Amino acid sequence: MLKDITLGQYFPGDSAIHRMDPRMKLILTIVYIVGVFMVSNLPGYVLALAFLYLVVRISGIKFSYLVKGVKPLRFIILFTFVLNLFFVQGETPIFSLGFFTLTKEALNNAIFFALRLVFLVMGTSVLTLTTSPVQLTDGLERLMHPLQRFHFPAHELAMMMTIALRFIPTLLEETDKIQKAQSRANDLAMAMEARCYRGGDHRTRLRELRYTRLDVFGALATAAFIAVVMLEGRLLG
Amino acid sequence: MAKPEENRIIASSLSYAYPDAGKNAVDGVTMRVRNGEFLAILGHNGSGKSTLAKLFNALYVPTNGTVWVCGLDTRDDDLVFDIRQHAGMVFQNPDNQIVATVVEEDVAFGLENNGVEPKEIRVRIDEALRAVNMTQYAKKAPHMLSGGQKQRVAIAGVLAMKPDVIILDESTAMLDPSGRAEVMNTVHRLNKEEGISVVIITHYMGEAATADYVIVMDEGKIALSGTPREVFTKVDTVRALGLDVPPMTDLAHMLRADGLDVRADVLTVDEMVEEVCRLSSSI
Repeated sequence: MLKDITLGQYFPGDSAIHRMDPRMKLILTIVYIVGVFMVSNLPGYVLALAFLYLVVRISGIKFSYLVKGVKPLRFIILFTFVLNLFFVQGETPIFSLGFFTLTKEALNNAIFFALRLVFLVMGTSVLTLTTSPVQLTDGLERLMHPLQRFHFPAHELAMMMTIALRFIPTLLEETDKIQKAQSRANDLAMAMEARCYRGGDHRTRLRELRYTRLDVFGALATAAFIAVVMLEGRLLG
Repeated sequence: MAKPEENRIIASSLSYAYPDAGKNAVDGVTMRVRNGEFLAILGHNGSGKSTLAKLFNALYVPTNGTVWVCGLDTRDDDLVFDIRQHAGMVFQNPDNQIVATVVEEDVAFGLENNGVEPKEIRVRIDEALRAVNMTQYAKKAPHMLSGGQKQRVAIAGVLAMKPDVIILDESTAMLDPSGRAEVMNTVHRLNKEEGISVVIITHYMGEAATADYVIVMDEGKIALSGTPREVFTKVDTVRALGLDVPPMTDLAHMLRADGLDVRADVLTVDEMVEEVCRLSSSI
């Protein structure tokens, strides 16, 4: 599951896209996203897809790899789709079921919003896949530099991002440790079963519990201690 | 039909597929473990040998075919605990199979599960620990022991249940050479002295060479079987199955390739010594 997330991963290469300045790539990605959000008809989306496909081909990244990166977000995309379907008001009904009426406008809207999200994720994935994290944050820092005049912490922000990205592989390794512990628990459960474990019923004990005179002495001694503590409180308090 | 009273385990056209797996991990295996036999099952990773072991202990229930352990069908839910008592299992990782924090309490675990009387448990623990030479460690904490000692404790835990078969599922794989020797010597002694049948799943050819009978698994099927001598003289076939031959068989093979007249079916160091002495006296 975690391995499927392509966002924030870098895919080393030497294509024209890889060699572009990270600042330019950042700006162009933003422009592309704005473009995708401006498009509102089918030919526009075909164009957006064709452009993205072209860029991906030049970069040498497998398109299927990019599609796989959208997979973890399928529920968010589905959610957006359904939400649009229900809440967009339209005029041309396709069919109605009880109080719910599906309109042509709502369907269009739902499809386009879902597609926008897909393009948004894939577009930004192209950026992060072709730009090493250090270059990316460098680019961000330079782009945000003018804002420093207004006390905007451009460098600090970029550094935070670099560090966050740097920890992704480490954290993946740590989930690996947790998985190992789980497999240990699985092994032990199997070993217990193999030795006839079947819960607490009919189970005997190597050492049966039995009260002896020793336990009575222990109880008396503790009772005496409590009594002394209470008396002492009375006498001195 | 193989008679149950002469065989500890009988598998007939046995198949098992893991849930969600496309193909059978064990695929139509028919075999048996005789009374008092020492059987080795070999195979590369994913050949189905460990799955087979778990079918013998009713940890897995066959998808097809049948396993009888001491005449008991593993598909019968009511017999599961009887079967596990008859066929004890020792696993690969010593740390993942010891339940208790004191050696003798761990040995008692299986007996407690089966509702054995405390007095009887005491007697059986002492017997079992003596049988694996671990008596002086009875009160020790398992994590303080070496790998070989931990596995001997695990064997004692199985032994205390008075099993007819002990199955070792790659139980020496994580041990150093001396630990491996400890475990192998222990099971060989139990096999000879107590008459307990032993099934070892292993990828150490040297261990397989000491068995009475060897089965080589490949893709869930039995690819080769016979006495170690019969199996390991087929050096090329064994290699094609992704396995090695025992070190001494390998050496004999190389010597023969160089034109020396040693026997091709040498398995152990002792036999090799004998061959070399025979050769040097004939020169």
